[in-house]
Amino acid sequence: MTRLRDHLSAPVDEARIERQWSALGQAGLPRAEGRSRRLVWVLAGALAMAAAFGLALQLQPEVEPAPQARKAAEQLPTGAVLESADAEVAVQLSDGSQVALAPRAQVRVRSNKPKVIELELQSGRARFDVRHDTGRRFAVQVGGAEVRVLGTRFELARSERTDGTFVQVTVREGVVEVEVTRAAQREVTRIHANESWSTIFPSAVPEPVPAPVHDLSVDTAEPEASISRPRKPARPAAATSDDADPASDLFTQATLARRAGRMREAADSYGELLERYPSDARSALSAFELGRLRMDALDDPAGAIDALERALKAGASASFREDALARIVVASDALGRTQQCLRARQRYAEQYPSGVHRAALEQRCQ
Amino acid sequence: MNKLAEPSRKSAGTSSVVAKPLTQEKAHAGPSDAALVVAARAGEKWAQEALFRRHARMVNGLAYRLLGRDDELDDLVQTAFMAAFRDLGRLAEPQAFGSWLASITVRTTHKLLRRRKMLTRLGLREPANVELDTLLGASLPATVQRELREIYGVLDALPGEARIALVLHRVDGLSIPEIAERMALSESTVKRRLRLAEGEVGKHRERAARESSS
Repeated sequence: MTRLRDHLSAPVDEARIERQWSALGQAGLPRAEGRSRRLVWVLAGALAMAAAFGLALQLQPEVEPAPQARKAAEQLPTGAVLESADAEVAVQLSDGSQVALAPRAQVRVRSNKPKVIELELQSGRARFDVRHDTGRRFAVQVGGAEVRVLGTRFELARSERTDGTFVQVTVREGVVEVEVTRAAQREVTRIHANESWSTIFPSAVPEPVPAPVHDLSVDTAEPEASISRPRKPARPAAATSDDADPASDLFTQATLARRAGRMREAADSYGELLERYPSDARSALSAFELGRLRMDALDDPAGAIDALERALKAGASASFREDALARIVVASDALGRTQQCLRARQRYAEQYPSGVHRAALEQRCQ
Repeated sequence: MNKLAEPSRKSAGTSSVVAKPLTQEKAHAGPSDAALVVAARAGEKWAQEALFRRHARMVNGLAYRLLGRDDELDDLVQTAFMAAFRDLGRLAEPQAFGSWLASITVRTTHKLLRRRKMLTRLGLREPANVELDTLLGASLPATVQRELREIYGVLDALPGEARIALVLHRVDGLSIPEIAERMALSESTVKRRLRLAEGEVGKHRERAARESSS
């Protein structure tokens, strides 16, 4: 199947590309920014680990905190410390944003008001799924850096090393701004989706102010009591759920293959996940991605329809349900199945009367 | 999304064929993008050159479709690659260099469009509108011509984000999550921008229909 873009070719030939390369050389090719600025950019191996960690978290984008944890979180006072033991835990903040703490992580709540959320990652890793709200300040302090966001998904990691405090920011969606102050010099860096930033703060980070601890690893049926419970020492790390989660591995494999442009391999992995783990939480998204790949890259509109219908049955979330319905119209049209196309278009119009694809779909099923 | 504008049909029953690969799927001779990224980070100029040569057409094509004209293409391509090489250390997944570079190209184009609009408002430069006739070759099928004219006919009237979202959606066939990733916006913002753009396309279509009937 062709896209409109296939009909538009830029007036670029080899000679022009050659000229562009020469111009780049003359302008002075920049080197990737490195340690000269005292920022330690993450190298390939470490990045792969970070990415794997990030993806593992991303695979559960709708982490639903345990009811008792959420209830307790809503009552989190300023100064409370969230601490996970040997499993990932998620809490919801007063503005609806979520924080998922990896095993053995600690986050201190500096403010939990609807218009001002301020947290501090004191140790370990955490993922932040921040609701978009331009009128609210959402900031996370980590080491000597402050990470500010509007609405995005990102992870932070902090670890103490012999040479200082290592801090890493990995952005999955949206943009975050990192502000670092060193020797009275402010440095603000914007990190975009699929980018990672890290640094080492050589100076010792001040000890956190002693605060009541909210240990999420235990039953919080009585939240007031648990908030004032003395802090437990961190337990030894245990295997996380993702360590023994082949569905998660398949999803990660598929996502990486898709991002790297290996569409057939990605489709096979999504297909395998659906076949082996049909009731997995990621099945709806996997079916949608499979449908998209079959349609856009593998020239298989009939297979795409099957996968997209499956995504709908599996409870596709609002973010891609509309796309799935629209794609079924387009795929049916491409196959010349006019009746199926008309029914699919009607279904789309009923569910999304002002949908973004409505105008384009009106041209279909002729 | 994908091919909402794709006009071709297939007879019933055609399916399950491994089709021509997309550009990004083509097997590249030589080292992978991930290996080149690692080498380029280490300051290897040959790796930068290999990445440039491998992805220059993609960047040129994307920028050209977003701008709808040719005259600023070289500057834009240069700016996008300079930014990519400078920020290579931030790339979390080296094998995803291509899609990351595409995001940088989209952001660079957005900045250019904003700057252009501001200078035009201040009277410091002439408007640089879409060059429709150059863009659409005479050999294009009539349905494709019509659809591209609808889209590119409204681009200059749209705010930058709506313009980019419309091209990525209708011309490049990206899904809303993909556009959100490329533009660093939330999916709901992308949908709002697309609604605005599609509304303009609809008005353009109605005007054209009225003119042809009168």
